Amino acid sequence: MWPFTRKSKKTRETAIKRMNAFLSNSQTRNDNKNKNNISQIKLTNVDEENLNYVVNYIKDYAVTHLSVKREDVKVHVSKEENSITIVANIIYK
Amino acid sequence: MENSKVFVVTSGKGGVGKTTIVANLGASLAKKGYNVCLIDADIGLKNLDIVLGLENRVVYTIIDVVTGNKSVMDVLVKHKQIKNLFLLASSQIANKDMVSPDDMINIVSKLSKHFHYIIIDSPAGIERGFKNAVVAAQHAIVVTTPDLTSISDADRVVGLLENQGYTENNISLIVNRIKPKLVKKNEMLSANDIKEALALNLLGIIPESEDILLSTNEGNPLSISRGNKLHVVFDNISDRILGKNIPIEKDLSGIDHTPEGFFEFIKNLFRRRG
Repeated sequence: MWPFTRKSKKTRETAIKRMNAFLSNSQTRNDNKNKNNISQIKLTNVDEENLNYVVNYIKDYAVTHLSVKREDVKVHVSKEENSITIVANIIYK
Repeated sequence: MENSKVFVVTSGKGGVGKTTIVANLGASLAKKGYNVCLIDADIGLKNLDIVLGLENRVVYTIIDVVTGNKSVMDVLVKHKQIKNLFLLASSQIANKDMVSPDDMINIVSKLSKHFHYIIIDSPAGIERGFKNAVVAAQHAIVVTTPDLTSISDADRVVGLLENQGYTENNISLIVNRIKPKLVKKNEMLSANDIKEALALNLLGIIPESEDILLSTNEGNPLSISRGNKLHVVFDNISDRILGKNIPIEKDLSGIDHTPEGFFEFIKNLFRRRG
């Protein structure tokens, strides 16, 4: 009851959790500084239009969230039978 | 004095205390005998002149230098009490696009011949004004308060600084408006929490204080305002800039950390309701 209400939880702990959640991108960026960051995804039954969408999405994501230039994001696409492999190579200078 | 050290104070988010920090850091370095020039790079929304109490002495601004009307040394405003502290004022009626990054490099290059320290007050945001402010500096000081919005913006700014060629070796962090009592009660992020999260060197911790408002009201930096404790914090930060090894804990050593007692609580309760 006011004015003796108690906070159920220490807000600092919540703040630390939230801060670490939204700073995780930058921490990854710091960890990977000066080296290339390579990630892979595999998709099946993909048509050409979807493929372009995925490639552009990866480039846009890297430019927006990882603070790199668009030309430093190399997306390689290779087809094997009915599956496609996309490899994104993001170069930090 | 070709080897002047050039700092930019930036944050991303507005209202975190960049201008106050620039004014007080500059005053502290000048009081220690160094020639200091402060540059207000916040074109169109200037207020470094107000914090320094020099608003009535500004005749020419950075725009007069850029347009070639005046040389940079002719437009500097000398501080009233601290004779080796100078201001390159910004213009209220100009906009950020009237100054280019090349202009800023030229201006800083000319000032470098005359000053030991040049401190640039960056505008909030991450657009043209930010680029102008950071392009000519050698070291960036990122300011944040302990709230998540400010930390998030500071993180974004660190990323942009890295894009501009800054590294962890020339980016430092100042955490402003810390409330030690709340930190002690586990209700506010500590400076160390923020330092760890942003992975930056901590240059200083500035506690929340009404002294800042009082000194701005007077137009005097804290080092020449009477009866305040906070100038010690800026002296510590300027000593660290000068290369002295001052433990970071000293920034909060003069501040009362103990949570308020029962009588203080009751007193504050009536004060708030009154």
